[in-house]
Amino acid sequence: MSSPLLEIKNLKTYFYVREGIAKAVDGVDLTIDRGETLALVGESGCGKSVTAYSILRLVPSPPGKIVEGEILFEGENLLGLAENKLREIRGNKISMVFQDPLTSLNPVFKIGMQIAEMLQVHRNTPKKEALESAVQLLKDVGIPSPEQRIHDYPHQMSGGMRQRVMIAMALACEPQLIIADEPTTALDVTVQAQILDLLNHLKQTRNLALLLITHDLGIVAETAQNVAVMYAGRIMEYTDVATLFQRPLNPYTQGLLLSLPRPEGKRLTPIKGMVPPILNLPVGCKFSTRCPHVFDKCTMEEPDLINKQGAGAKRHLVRCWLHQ
Amino acid sequence: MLAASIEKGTDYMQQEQVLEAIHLEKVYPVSAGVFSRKPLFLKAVDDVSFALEKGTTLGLVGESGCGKTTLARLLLNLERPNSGEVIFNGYNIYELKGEQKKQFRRQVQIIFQDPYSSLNPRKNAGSIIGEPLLIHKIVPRSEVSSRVMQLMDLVGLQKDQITRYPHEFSSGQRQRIGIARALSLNPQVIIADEPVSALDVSIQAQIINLLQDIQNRLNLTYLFISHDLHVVHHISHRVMVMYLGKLVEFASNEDLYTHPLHPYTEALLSAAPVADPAYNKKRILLTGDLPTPLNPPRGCIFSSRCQLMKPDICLEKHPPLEEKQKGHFAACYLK
Repeated sequence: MSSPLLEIKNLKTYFYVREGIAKAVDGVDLTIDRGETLALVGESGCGKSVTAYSILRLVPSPPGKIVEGEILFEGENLLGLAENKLREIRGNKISMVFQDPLTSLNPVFKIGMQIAEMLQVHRNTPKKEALESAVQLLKDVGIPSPEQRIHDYPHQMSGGMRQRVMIAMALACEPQLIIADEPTTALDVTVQAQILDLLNHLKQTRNLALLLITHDLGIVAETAQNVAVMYAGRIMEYTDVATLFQRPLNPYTQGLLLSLPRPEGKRLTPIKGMVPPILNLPVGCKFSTRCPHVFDKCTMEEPDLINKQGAGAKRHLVRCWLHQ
Repeated sequence: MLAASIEKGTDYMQQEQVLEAIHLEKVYPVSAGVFSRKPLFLKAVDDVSFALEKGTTLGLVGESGCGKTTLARLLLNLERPNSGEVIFNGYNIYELKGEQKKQFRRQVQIIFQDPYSSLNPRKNAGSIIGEPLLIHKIVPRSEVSSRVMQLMDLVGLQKDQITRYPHEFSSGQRQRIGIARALSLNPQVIIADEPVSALDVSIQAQIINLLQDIQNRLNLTYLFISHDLHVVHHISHRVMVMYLGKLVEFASNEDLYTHPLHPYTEALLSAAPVADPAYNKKRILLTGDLPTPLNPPRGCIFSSRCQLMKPDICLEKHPPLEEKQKGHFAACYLK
């Protein structure tokens, strides 16, 4: 077995704010292999975006700080790299697709220029050639008549088109890993289907790895191979998609799945209460304040993430006292 | 279908209509640029007719810009249509004046999508929920706070939260405040415009349950607007689908989701991600984007993205919304 493309070890990203220390990511371990799609799922504020931003050291500092951990990309620790070395990886070997393409594209430059800039900066490609590549990239992401569209400004395109441009930019330098942070959340459902289809297609044809951050379990089920469920800065469960949906072990995962509206129209079973404030997390298991199976031990000590493999699943990590 | 309707506690056939929209049409003039002489017109709602039946939920789905929210604003008499009428309790709501208009305002209430921007940050929960009571003089001033507490209890808020301000609540609790405010005037009809779209899934489930509970307790009528097909399927008794300002399909919940007749509905249903990796579905990928409503396609408005489009039939005229099966309306020539 070859070494994984990306390996995150015990990542801790804290935010030092006036009221205290917000432990947004507190000990996260993840691995992504070449060509794999890993979904990171959780509700708002669980630390999934901060984890992704930490990979490329894009967390605003101050107040944010990566206090501990290693992020190994092809064996090299990104957290130890000098800024100019890191810049060779950002956008080049690892690129990002953001949620809102309108705010991530520069409104005063034509989109052809913005795509070409990637190649000019990272590859020293001459402008003319870079623009030719931009046309090809737009064609690859399914934009009709790309020769004309490279002269458009972002506001002249629809939301779905803009997201395709973002993906074209992310692909420009043929990265090995794309981090997509809620790439379809701002889009309508029919356009979302087109974009997910495009990402799947590109992944297969280019052997890309994809870290997909989403809150939508439907998207996870349809696009990912592996999935990590996050809650309050921790991974609660980490396994392959089929196992997660068939045999979820962590009560939080079970609660999320039961909260989904189902066609039978039966009454939903929501998770009671709400996410505890990040500055005031409970002692012990962070889900203990909402868990239906809570018992004494849960409120005193936090369980470890341990492997409950078996029944076909090679890896089934779960953080829960019921399964220790 | 019968079993499901019994389970939801209703029977479609013998329902009393509380609010009826007849051929509603709303056109907005749009500036075509400083040098243009001819104004452009955007048809936001185009010949929409339907009725809300007492004690049931009508779901309204469609993509952004299809006219869902404009329709809601028309029904609330916040906008006046260019033509058409809305009948409530036997009167056209756009002709109401004085006390009658106030009466209508009491009876039809709205819940907004974003609980952050729809609550006044400088008022506490008690004044937000109690304000309609004072304006409409529903209860004497001395009894307002006890009524507010009653409402807070109904929507699952603690009574001691009455003096807290919106920023002290989570998004789910804020949405509960919005619901309590809508309920304060004992309305018959509630128009819920994307009420759970801004919420996380575990909180979304709490609010959906709450909306269903108070509907059963108070025999409320809902128009439930959402872009989330799973949520609409869960909560609605009947569903209508809008595309570029027009109704393209209208049927009972079961009929629409099990055998949709309009190709757009089919594509929408197949595009919605299902949270089950074992579920193997055939996805119909629509090509292209939503056309601009300023320049809708010729003939059938869906023709530019429809897979079944037949040029000789579909490009002539937009098809009428016809009853294809009992209680199942669709606007398509081909089905």
